[in-house]
Amino acid sequence: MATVNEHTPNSNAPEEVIKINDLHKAFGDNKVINGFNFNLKRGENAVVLGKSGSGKSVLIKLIIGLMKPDQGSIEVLGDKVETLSTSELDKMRVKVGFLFQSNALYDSMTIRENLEFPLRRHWIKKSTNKNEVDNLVMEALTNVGLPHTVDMMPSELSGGMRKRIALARTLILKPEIILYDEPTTGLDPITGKEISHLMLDLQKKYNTSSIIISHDINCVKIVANRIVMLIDGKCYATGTYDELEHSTDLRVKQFFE
Amino acid sequence: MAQETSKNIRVGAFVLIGTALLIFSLYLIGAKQNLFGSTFELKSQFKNVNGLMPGNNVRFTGIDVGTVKSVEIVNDSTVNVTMVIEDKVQAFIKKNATAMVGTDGLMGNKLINISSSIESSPSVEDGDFLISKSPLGTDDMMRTLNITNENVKDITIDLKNIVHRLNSPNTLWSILMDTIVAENVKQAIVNIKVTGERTALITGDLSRIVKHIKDGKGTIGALIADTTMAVKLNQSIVNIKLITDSLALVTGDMHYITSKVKKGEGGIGTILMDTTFVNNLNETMKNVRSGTKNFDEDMEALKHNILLRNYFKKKEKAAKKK
Amino acid sequence: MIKNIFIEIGLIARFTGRFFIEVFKPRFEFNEFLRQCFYIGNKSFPLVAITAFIMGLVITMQSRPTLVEFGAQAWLPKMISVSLVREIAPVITALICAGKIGSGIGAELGSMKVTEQIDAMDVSGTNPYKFLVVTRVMATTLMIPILAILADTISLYGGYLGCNIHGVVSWDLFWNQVFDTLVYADVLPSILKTFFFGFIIGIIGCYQGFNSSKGTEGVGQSANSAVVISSLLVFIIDLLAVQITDALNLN
Repeated sequence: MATVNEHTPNSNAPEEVIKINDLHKAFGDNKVINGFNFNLKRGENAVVLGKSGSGKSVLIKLIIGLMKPDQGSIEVLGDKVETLSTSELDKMRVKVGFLFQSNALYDSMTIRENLEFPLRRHWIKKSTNKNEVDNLVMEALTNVGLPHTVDMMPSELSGGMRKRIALARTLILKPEIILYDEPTTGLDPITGKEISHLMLDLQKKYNTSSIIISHDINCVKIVANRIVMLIDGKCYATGTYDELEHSTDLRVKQFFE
Repeated sequence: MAQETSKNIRVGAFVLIGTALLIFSLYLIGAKQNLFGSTFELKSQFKNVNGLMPGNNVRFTGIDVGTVKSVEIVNDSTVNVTMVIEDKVQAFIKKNATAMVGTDGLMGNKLINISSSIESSPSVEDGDFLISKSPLGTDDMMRTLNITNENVKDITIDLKNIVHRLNSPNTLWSILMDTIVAENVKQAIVNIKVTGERTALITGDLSRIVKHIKDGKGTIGALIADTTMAVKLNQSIVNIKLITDSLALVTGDMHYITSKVKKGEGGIGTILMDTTFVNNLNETMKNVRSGTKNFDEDMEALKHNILLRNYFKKKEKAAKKK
Repeated sequence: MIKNIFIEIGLIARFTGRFFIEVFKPRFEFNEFLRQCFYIGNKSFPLVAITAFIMGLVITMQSRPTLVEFGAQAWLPKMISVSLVREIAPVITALICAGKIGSGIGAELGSMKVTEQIDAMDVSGTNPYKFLVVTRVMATTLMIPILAILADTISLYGGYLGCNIHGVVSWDLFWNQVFDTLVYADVLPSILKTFFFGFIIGIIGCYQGFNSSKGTEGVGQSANSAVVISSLLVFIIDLLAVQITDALNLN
C-alpha cells in the first residue's frame, strides 16, 4: 500500500546517507520546494518522480550544494550541506557524484581530458601518477563499454554515448552516492533502457546509493527500489513501483498511465 | 601534452616579441630625449622664453644635441633654463657661445639654438652658464618705426610751412622778424635731430632683420625669404636713409641761418639775396618731401603685407578708439 | 526599465568585484591561463595585424592631401605616428578584440552555462569562476596590450608604405621622424589604457556568458551583448583616458 503524505523515518532501517528535513526553496513567488522531507538509505535507488518544472532538478542541486536552500536542512553523509564552506563542499562532492541532464561534457576537451578533469582537479583526491590516472580512465570507459572513444571529442559522439561517457566521468571518483538528473531524457526508448540497465549494473558493482530524477516510467521501473512523488514541492507519496502503480490517488495514478 | 607545450612556447614568443618591441621603442624615444647615454648640463638665463618647455630640443649649429631639462622663473624678469647636452659635443661648444630661443620651422616647437662666437674660447664645462640673446621682436621694431614715421611727417609739415613762406618774397621780412618762426625753426631742428637718431637706430634694426631674412632665419625668414616683402623693407631702409641725409643737410643749412639771424649780422639781406642758398634749401625740401612720400608709400605697402596686417589693424582700431 | 539597467550595472559591478577577490586567492589556474593566452593572444594576432596595417596605410593616404595643401608633407610621418600610436592602433585593437574575443567568450561560457558544464565544474571540485573567468580576464588584460603594441608597430609600417605611395620617404628617415616625434607621454598612456580595454572585454564577455539564459537563443544574446557592451565601454574608457591625460598635462 502506498503511504500517502509524509514519510516517517524508520529507526530500524539501514544507515541513512541523505537526510532532508523540511526543505524550502523559492524562486521569486514560485515555491518549488515547499517543506520536503526525505531520507535515502545506503544501497538504495530512490527515484524522485514529478512533472516537468516541479523542482526535481532543484532538489538534487540543493543536495550537491549548487544552490542554497531558503529553509530546512540537508544532511549528506553526516555533513549539513547548507553550512559547509567551499572546501568542505569539495570534500563532500568527492563522495557524491552528479550526472547532469545535458551530460555537461566539456566541449573543448577530449574524452580522456573530460574523464581526467575530476581526477586531476579534485584536490582532495588528486592523483598525479599518470599510469594510475590512465588506468582509472580506461576502467571507467570499459565500465560503460566505450574504451575506443578515449581520444575523441564529445561532439563526435551520439547522445547515448555521451550519456555513457558522462556516467563514466561521474563514476571515476568512485562516489558513495550518485545523483542522476533525468538520465534517460532525450534518448530513444531502447538506448534509455540500456542506460537504465547500465546504471543498475554499476550500482551493484560499486554499491552506491542513488537518487534518480526522472519522469520516464520505463527507466523508473528498471532502477527504482523506492519512488518518491514530488508534487507541490512536497513529498506527496513514497512506495515501491508496484505499490504506487496500484495507487488509488489520482495525482499519483496519472504518472503510471 | 606536446601540443600544449608548443602552444605555451608560442604564447611565450608572442609575449616576448610584444614586450621587446615596447622596450625597444621606449628606449629609442628615451634616447631621442637623451634619457640614456652620458650627458652634461648647461644653463642660461632669459628674459622671455616664448613658451619653451622641458623636453624641447637644443640645437648647436643646427644639429640636435640635447633637450631642455627645466624652465624655472628666478624673478620677474629672469627665467633659468637648464639644458641636457650630449657629452660628445662638449668639446665643440665654447664658453662664449650664445643661447637663443627659436622656433623649429613655421609652426614647430620652440627650441634653443646655441651659436658659437667667432672669437676663440675654452670649451664649456658641466653646469656652465651661456650668454643668452633675446630674439628680435617684430612687434617692438614696428612700433619704433611708426613713431619715426610720425615724426618725419611733423617735420615735413613744419618745413613745408617754412619753405612756403620763404618762397613768397613779401613776407620775407616779417618771417625773419617773427620770433615765433625762429622758435619753430629751432623746434624743427630739434625734431630733425631726434628723428635722425631714431632713423639711424631703426635702420640698424631693419638691416639686421633684412640680413636675417636673407639668411632665412626666424619665423618671418621662413615665410618670406626672397619675397617682395624683403625688397620692400630694403627699399624703405634706403628711403629712410635718403630722408636722413636730406634732413642732415637741412639741419646744417638751418643752423647756418639761425646762427646768422641770431648774431644779427645784418647779413639777412645778403643771405636772402643769396639765391643759391634759397635754391639749395628749396631743393632739399623737395628731396625731403619726396623721400617722405616714398616712405609713406612703403609703409602703406607694408600695411598690406599679410604678416604685418594684423599689427596695423590693431593700430587703426586703437586710433579709432581714441 | 531603468530599474533593470541599475540592476544590470550592479550585477556587473559585483561580478567584477568578485574577480578581484578570486584573483588573489590560491589555487591559480596557470595552465588554463596559458591556454587562454594562446587563444586570445596568438589566435587574434592575424586579424589585428591585418586591420592595423590597413588602418595605418589608409590614415596615411587620407592625411596626405591636407598636409600637401600646407606644403607640409614632410610632416606626414610625424602626424600619423602620433595619431596611430595615441589613438587608432589601441582603439582598433580593442574593438577587433571586443568583436572576436568578447563574442567568443560570451558564446563559449554561455553554452557552457546552458549545458550545465559550469555546474559540472563546480561539482568536480573546480571553482568555475576561477577556472573560467579569472583565467580569461587575466588573459585579455595581459594579451590586448601586447596586441596593441604589435598593432602600433604594424600600423606604423602601413604608414611607411602609405608615405611611399605618392612620395619618397626612406626607411631610416621615416623611423627617425617617428621616434623624433613620439615621447613617453604618447606611448605610455596609450599602452596603459589597453590594459583597461582588455579587462573590460574579458569581464563583460564572461559576465554575459555566465549569466546566459537557457537555450541557444540565450547564448546568441550573450555573445551579442558582450560585443555591444564591451565596445561601448572601450569608447567610454577612451574618453576617460583622454581626460585624465589632459588633466595630467600629457596631451
